[in-house]
Amino acid sequence: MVSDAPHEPDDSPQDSPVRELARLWVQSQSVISAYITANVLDVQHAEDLVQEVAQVVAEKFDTFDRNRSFVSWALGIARNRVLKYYRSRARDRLVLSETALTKLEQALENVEHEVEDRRAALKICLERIQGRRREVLEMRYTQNAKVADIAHRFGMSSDGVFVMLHRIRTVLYGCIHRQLAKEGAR
Amino acid sequence: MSDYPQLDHLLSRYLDGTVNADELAQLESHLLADEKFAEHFSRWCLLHQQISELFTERALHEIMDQFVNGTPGLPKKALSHLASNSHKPPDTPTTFAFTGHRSADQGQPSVGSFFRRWLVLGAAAAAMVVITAWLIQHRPNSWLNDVPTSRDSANSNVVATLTQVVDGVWDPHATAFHPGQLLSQGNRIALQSGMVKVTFECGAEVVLQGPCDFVAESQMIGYLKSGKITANVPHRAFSFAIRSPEVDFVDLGTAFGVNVGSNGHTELHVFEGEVLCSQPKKEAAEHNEVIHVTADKAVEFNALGTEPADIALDKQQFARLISVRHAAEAPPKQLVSSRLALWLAADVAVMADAKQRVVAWPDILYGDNRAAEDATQNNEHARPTLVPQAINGHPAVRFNGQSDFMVTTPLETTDDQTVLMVCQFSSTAFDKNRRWGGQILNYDGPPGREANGYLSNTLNPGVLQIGEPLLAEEFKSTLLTGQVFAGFVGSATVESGRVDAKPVGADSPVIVSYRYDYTHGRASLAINGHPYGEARAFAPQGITSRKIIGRHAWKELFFHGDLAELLIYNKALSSSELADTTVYLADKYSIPLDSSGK
Repeated sequence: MVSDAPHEPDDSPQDSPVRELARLWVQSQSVISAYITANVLDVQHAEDLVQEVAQVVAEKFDTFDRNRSFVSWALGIARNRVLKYYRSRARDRLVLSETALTKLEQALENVEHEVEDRRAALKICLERIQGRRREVLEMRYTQNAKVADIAHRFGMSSDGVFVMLHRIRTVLYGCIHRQLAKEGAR
Repeated sequence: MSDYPQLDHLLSRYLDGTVNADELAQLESHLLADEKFAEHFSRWCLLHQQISELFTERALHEIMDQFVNGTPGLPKKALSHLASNSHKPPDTPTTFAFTGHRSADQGQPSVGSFFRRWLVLGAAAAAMVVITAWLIQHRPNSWLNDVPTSRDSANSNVVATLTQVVDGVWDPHATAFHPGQLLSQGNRIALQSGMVKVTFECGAEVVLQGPCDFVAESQMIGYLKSGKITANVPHRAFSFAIRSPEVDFVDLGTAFGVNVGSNGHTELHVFEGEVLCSQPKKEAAEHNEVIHVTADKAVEFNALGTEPADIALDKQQFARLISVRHAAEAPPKQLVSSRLALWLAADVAVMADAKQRVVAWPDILYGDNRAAEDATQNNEHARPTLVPQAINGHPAVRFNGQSDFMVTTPLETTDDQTVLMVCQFSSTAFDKNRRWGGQILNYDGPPGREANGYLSNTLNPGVLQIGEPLLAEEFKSTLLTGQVFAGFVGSATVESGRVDAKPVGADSPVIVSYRYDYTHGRASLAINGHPYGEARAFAPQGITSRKIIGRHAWKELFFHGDLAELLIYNKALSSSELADTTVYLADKYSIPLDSSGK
């Protein structure tokens, strides 16, 4: 007999709450990380916050309403953590308001299904970034370097570095779009 | 082509942290009013995150190449600046691991712990798997060859360590063991004369006097066929047993002596606590009789099946054995004795070979330190050297920075710790070819954590480490740092309670004190009484493990210098206790204290 009862976790090895949580988190982690890293400049702090969110999600998973979207719920926790972080530390940058953060969460939830495809496309697109542009991008992302530090390293002005980073992102964004369109046309 | 070219410019500025107030207001207004732009914004966030992810994976593969090319260790910190968190789940089932936070039911795997395991494995999963596999294959095990490979005692063949030999003459028909040698299950110790001390993995210490014939049967059982022994059994070794041909003795937290003579005549003398004795009956149908023997009592058994008889306690016949264990007993000092777990002092007890290379460094029994977890080194090529007047006229144990180290027997240490040491770096610490830091103390002695434990998980408990910063990018010769390494979170190392001091230079004796107060969440490091700050202590570290002195747990990163004294407390000393102990060491070694830091 096929049951039409709403899905609920049980204690079987396959569907234990632990496994359900792990599955949901793995599906949502990129979006949550993207949300936090976009709004917290310091990579170390961002990583810490992702961990804190993870901890809270795990601890409160018993209270998670299965009728809700998991990513929405987890992003709400992430928002609280980000706001708490803003309050407890001197801000190193201007940040979005709570209302805007909430709006961004909703938008991220809408694009969650694109995560895998966008990542695969980006992997291809990144190979096309070469030379100094690549070095600048790597310094920005692998060393969490600030624009001023990159400028000093490459003998450029800060504005020059910023423009270069922006152009690279724009190129990558467009490249992803084209890659996805190409895949969709197949 | 983007639908929002002007706003894209602001998005980049936001992600780089350079947006100004007007620009932010512009972004916000569009974000709130335009659903399509909100999704566009969120895709930029994804782009920002995923660039990090992909560069992380590539960088990890480059680190792999460094390993293959022979760099001395995993540059863990090198990973920390990489953005983390790939979204890929592991392909293989995971096992439970533990979070870095204490929970009420530590014995049970928590949802959080499983979650963290997934999270961490999800972080750069592919590269981690590769690195883990590589480490398992290439882990430098040469110094671990004769130690257990698992903490699971059921799977371990090592049951004890021969920690001391005093004028030992071995039976020519039996194996001759060396101080520091690990004993496997079934190893027979047959002495013609002299004495040896065997420290079982459970913590029980047995001193044997020749002639005797003894077999280490397991981590909790020894078999005395003949001869005389004393046993000191700490609480954690409760129910440790000595079997003999006629009687089995089960410890209930004691110190006792057993003498098995000819014709099955056996005597038990209980110095402290209580011992259960079980004498098998000759008739199979009869039940074994169990008797209790308490402190200051003695009983004799014989092979004729007669009832055991009370006899007068004769501690004197065990005096020589007792003296072996108490050779490193110290008279009262002006230092804290409460919760003392380990005390090594080069001026009190060091056992060296003919070339003054240190074979054993006995743990001094003092105050609450009732069990001797001696440090030993069986390999003559890895023995440090005893230098008689190394530090202001006091002896010290010199580690050459190339191969020397020692390992204690399993020592129970708690989440709260205080470590004090008197040491000095050698001039070789400034060798221009050094690129990685050496460690003076590391709590992850063999059997250490599995490589995948380091690489794919947070460690619970963490590993206390004191020495120079390990990694090339942080390394400064003679800079002292203390921390509890607690594994990885994503691609970042977790260093709980890390406090760095400053380079202290060569040939400059110092008193190092590292206090890790997990209960109150803070750690501190001081040199000569001068504090170098506090850090958050968030990782538990309580464990029974061998402690390594003079090197890292599994990388060949050694201490260049002298160690005269080492104290480990199973608590966070109070400020006054720490000050008193520091003053005691300063007075003893004529090391001036920095009063400005008090």
